Amino acid sequence: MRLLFAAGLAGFAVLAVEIVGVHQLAPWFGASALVWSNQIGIVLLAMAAGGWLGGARARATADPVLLAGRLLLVAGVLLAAGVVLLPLLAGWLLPDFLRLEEAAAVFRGGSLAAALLFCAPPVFLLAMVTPLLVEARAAQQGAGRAAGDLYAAGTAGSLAGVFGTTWLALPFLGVRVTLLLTGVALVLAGLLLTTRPRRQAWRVALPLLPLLLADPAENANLPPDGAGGVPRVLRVQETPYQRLRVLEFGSGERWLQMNEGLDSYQSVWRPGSAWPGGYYDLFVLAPVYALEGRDGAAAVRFWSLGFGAGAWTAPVAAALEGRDWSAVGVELDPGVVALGTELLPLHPELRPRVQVVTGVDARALLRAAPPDLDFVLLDAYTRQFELPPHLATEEFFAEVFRHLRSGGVLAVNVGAARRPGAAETLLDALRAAVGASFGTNVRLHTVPATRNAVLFARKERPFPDAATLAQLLPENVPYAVGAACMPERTLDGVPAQARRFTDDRNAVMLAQLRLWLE
Amino acid sequence: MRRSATLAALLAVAAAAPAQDDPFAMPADGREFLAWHLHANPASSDWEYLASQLFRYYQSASYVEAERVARRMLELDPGNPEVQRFLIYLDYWLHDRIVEPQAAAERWIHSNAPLGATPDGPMSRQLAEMERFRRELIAERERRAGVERARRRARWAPLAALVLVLGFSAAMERCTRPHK
Repeated sequence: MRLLFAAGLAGFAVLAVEIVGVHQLAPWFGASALVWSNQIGIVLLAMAAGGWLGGARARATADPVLLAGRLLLVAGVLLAAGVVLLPLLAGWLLPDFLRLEEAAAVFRGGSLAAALLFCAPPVFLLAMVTPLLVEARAAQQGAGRAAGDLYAAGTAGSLAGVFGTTWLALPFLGVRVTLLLTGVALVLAGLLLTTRPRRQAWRVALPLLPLLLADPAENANLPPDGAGGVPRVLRVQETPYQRLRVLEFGSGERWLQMNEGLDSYQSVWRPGSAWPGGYYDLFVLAPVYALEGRDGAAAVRFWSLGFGAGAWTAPVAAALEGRDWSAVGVELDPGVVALGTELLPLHPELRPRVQVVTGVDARALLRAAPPDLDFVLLDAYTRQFELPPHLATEEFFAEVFRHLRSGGVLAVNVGAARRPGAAETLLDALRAAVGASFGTNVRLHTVPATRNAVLFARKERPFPDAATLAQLLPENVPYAVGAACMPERTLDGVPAQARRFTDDRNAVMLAQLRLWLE
Repeated sequence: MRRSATLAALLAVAAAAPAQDDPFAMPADGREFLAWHLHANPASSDWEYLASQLFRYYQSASYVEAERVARRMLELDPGNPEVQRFLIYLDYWLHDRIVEPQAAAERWIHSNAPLGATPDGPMSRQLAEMERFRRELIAERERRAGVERARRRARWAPLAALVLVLGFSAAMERCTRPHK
């Protein structure tokens, strides 16, 4: 029985290292598709090498159970050591005040090195365990039965690792405690197999030693605040989807960040101002365009896909003054909404107008939207700088098109860096995908002094010209909005030859990788 | 529903109070800025008019337009220190350059230092501002050098890690080998 338990625990630990390992890397190197690929690749490589060596040692070792026990012991200690050593490696690799557009190359190498150093060794040892245990049981039960039982136990452990870590351990225990308790369990299992548990029971506590140290990941990749200073960290929270952090600057401005942080935010909140700045202010144009030529008395309904903390709400409300309006906000991660409600709250007058739905994918829920929305705001990013592929295809934009009334508007925030060649590839493909449904009624606004652009598309009606727009804008819009509406900052129509992203052939991840790596 | 006074106050754009007769005052908001831009004439030969354009474009982060106006002003008055000052800032903000604007800032400070003798005069304030900008450029240059070093380290780190992991694997292979 103890052999089955050991095999199950090894299976659990491998998956815990794979999944929690990415969350462990996230505050330092992000959790982009690049980091996930590195992590999965390294874990599989370590499993293959460990399985091979374990198999080679199984027959030749006098006591395979004793060896398996020792391997579990060392794996547990290595897992705990990684918790302490990763911040040291990251501190050496990452420079101060790295910017998002500079980070991809550093993160690519850094995450690969970290996965090699801190995930490969314990997984290598854990993968050696099962062949040794098969050998030990095969003597009594035969090779087939022994292998079947142990692989079943290992797979059951892996299942527990997948679901248990993502939905229970990460939100309730956090990354460090999950990894350290896994280390404790491995050491305990190792001692049971070495049959000297009493004499060496003190070793069980070894992996918990890092808990005596503060978690340096809370202050990873902080942006600058004033000359040489950094903002205050108000809260750090782990969710099944990402690591969240709320910062407060000297000016009182607050940022909600995800994963690697840097100089980027998921939502922003400014005390005493309804204009959060950047591309959020440009969302004021969605109601401006959608209501052009529309009856002033009609109620306005719209959806926000990727609600975040609702930073777009006040700019949009500025253009809806005097109108009856209501909105639905869709946010996949409930943790984002909870943190936003507490630390980046909406204006009390606006909050009752927005119904927020969490835990559901935006595309799935869009099918339940009414068919006559005035506009749809899309600001959904996964893992900091990646547009979710299924929210960037012509089929998805066609779905949005079906849920808009005539004259209705789609507004999409696109993080495009400041690299003309690669940015145009991404933006052209998106404009083409949107244009497949909306025709040539597509307009791109570049946001001054940022790395963002906002793409607008209008159903069955053309956009107003700049002179008309100057009359339609509400009072008090920031200068940056006026500057983004200058004819020199807008691009109308769709490119003639761009390749569109579709559900079947979607190169959005590659286009973004190219954009951020160049 | 009408907005309350609180919300209306929150929505007000933070800008210097516009004065009707001040050509350098910013328009009241982004809407007026856009309307003003649509009627602006960057090819004008009126120095004051161009100067107000330069100021407004610069303040609204419309750096491409600001640079175009600044070049036009330099055609009218080559070597004008005020226009050169803006061009130095724009070289950094618009073209993301460090070395050239830093050198230009040093030259500008050197050649205009005698004009800043009057304490609290406009030139002494501009000199102080340019000096602050120069220091920021130096700090930014050091930051970028750090990023470059980090990129080099990140390029080699996986290889070094691979060597260490192979060493670990070889050590495990050796120490789990049965004794003869």
